[in-house]
Amino acid sequence: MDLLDAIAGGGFGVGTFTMIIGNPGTFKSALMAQTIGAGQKKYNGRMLATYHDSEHSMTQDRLSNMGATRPIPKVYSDVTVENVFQTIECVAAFKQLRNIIDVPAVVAWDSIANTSTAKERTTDDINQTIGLKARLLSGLFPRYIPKMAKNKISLIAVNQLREKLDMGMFSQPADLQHMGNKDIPGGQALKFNAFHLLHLRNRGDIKFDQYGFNGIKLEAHFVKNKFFQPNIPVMLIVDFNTGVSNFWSNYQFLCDNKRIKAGAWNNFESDALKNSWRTKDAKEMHENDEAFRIKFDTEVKETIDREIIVKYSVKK
Amino acid sequence: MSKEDLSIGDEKVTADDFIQQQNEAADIVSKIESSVKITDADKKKADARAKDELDDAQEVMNLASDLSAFISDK
Repeated sequence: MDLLDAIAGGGFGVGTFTMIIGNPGTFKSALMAQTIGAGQKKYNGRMLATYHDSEHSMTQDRLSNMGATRPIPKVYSDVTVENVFQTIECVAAFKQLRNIIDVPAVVAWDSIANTSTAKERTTDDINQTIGLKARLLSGLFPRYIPKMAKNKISLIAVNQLREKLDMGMFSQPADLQHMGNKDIPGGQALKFNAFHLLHLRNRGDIKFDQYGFNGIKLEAHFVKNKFFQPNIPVMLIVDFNTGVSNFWSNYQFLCDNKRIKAGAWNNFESDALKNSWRTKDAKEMHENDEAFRIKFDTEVKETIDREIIVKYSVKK
Repeated sequence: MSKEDLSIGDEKVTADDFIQQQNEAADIVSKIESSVKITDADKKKADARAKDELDDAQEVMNLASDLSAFISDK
């Protein structure tokens, strides 16, 4: 995904921990599935992937719809904190056994908020397990972050948001900028150890009449990013059936940056083609009209370079 | 941690409880770290796979299915 890659600083880091956060219905799971699909495409299928789904929201059909097809990853629905990390341990051992350390692997965890520890599942006295998940994660992450880096295993996890409790003059200071009055469950270790922390927000509906599909607009920005400057917002366009659309997100980006003049009929601002089109026909034109495709792709590349890469890079 | 340090919290909670909680988490972490043992059977399977002559698509499918089997075994 061109825009997401640009604000990430090239993509999610191999061998790191990435956390995707947002309110319900912000396509966090879909984006995680699409990330697996994009990785499989990039590495021509030579990428290991497992999907841990404590929310029972992901199926192999849905993974396939989101582009994770080479092959469709196995979905594990019996998920505890312990067995997510046991899977990382297994993947590391498997890679060493097969001498394939360089083959990247993704362990997808959906979601941290909805996953219990083994003891939480079985205890009769819930008071005995208060804080156990956070304590466990604060013990696990410092051990597993180096192991993941060494073995090129990326942990990508979805997490929910919760409101911060305001206690008047004793309110907590903001520990992460750009998250507003929100926090994430699971303890501080998650924030300390996240290499990328991506926040998604719903910014309204996509109308079928205009685009030819139903979906939503998502605003995405990195609250934490160790590859590139954080807090650069971009708008992603989501199709309910296929997830975040690279083409339509780029299209919206060109409209927002006045490279496409949008209206009942649209055209490029710097138009040598002198073509006009209706919005819902744009994708078909991109697929079938070579001149349009070249012009569109060039505009996208130049605009991303100018509005994101150059604008936010370190000036030397 | 002294009793005074804990005095503003729940009076039933003692320093020993705190240490016990920390130890419990540390035990779970070390159990997870030592949970995967590579056996001779695993090594034999890996050696057999190394001798297979496969095209790229078959290799990708085998890697995925072998990983799933390995995770189930462990």
